[in-house]
Amino acid sequence: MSTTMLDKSMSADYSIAASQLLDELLYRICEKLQLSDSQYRLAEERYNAIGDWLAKEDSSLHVYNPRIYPQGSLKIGTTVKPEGREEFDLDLVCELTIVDVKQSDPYAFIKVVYDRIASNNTYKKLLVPLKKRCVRLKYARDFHLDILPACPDTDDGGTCVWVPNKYDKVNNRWNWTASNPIGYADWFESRTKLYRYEKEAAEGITPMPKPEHVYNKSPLKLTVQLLKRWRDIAFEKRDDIPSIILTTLAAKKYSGESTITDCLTAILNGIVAEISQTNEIIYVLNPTNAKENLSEKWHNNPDLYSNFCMKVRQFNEHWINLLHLSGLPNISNELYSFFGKDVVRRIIAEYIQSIGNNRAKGNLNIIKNAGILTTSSSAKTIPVRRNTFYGTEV
Amino acid sequence: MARKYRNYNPKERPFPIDAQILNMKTFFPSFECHRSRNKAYWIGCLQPTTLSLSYKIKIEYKIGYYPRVFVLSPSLELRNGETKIPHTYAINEPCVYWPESNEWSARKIIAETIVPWTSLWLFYYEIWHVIGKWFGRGVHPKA
Repeated sequence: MSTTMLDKSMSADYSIAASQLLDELLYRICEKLQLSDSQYRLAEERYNAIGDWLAKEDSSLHVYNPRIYPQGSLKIGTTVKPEGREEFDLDLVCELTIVDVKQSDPYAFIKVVYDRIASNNTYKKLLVPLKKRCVRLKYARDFHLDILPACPDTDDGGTCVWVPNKYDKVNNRWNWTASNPIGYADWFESRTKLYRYEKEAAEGITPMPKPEHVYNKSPLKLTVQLLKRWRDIAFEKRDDIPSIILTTLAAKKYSGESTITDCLTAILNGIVAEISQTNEIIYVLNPTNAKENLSEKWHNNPDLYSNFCMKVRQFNEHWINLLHLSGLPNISNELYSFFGKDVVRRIIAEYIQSIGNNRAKGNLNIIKNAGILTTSSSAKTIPVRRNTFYGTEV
Repeated sequence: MARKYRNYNPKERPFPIDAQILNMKTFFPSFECHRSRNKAYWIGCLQPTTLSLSYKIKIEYKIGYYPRVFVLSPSLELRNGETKIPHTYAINEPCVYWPESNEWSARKIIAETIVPWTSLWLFYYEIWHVIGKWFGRGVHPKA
């Protein structure tokens, strides 16, 4: 792993901000949480293969003019490895154009996609029985591919779609619900650009967005990864706080902060301010399709909402506290509680190793007067000469 | 173990105390210096990383003797279940170099050796608290 950013963050500037090292540790946590390059290549291969299978000319779906594209964290670059299991959730949309979609049966709509996938012997073995509104393929140890069938919303034009809703147990039927995965991703990207300009591309199978190295990512994306990780650690069931709610809230509260530390501070503060304004359950709407209430789950289950409020307030308090803490042991303990001990220990081990390697190569210096270790050298630094720690045995 | 405080090699002309003081003043201007004849001590703060605590330390040096380092505050602490802090002579006295090597000699400059080593020691001390292991390497005297 490259140590260049570490070197940069431990800059020789005397007035070095404490948050630079903290930011460096947070970058590394995100790097550990997201899809690795090899997982990414595997996902891309499988994505292309399944896309071909769905869109092929001899496919039973061909008459519906299928269009396949990634959505969710895969599309916007905020994947997070779930705590306690190996598989990532990766979401694809399979858009099929049918007339008067709302008059048709959502279940039959999903079933068309399901049957097409089941007609391939390889995929058949990976298919999970149809329960949710998406067709799930389970690739053991790597990821789930969730394929969400969608139909363009012709009244609305643009990128809005209708998708089957979750099975409605009360009325014993499937419904349609409004969504807009493309519009949502564009909106999210536009929010990231508050800080840094990023470019974007788009028929048939849209290629997967290229993986972004954490250091090229917008602080907003990284902060969303951290929030999702915090959710996985803090809540018993990750489904209680859907990622889309966290992502939307974060993107709305973001106002162009350039470091992960500042970004997380601003977002937590923004969320806490919003939930404190009212005793009612807040509405988180899809910013690109107001017909979609992303916080529906909270409105159906107020306990989930009050639990969220309590925990996000706690996180905010602890986070502010962390910003005023000193001492690597204290800071590590807080980071364990936010993001999980394993991942934090792994990145601390990498940090120690990077200091050790630089020391061995004679590249370690300290900043004059303050004594702060740094790997850059300048007129303000003194090299750490070779030494051997001594003393009586433990 | 019996610790040798004296470090005197008759062939070696020690770097004068005034020169040590001048170097400390140049590199660590916030350190207070107290001097009498051929000895001096310095008190100042070191913070090994920007997320670390700031440690108030004291360096004692007398020409012809080994320099000694003490951590004044915050007091160094044991880890739960451990009986000693690695690489220390006493609870507040880190051993930042191996006396039998020539890492330190009377010809060396304290500001360029003892002080950076102390900062590095403090880094590994904090990491020892985090991970439970001393990552700074080193040697122990034979029993």
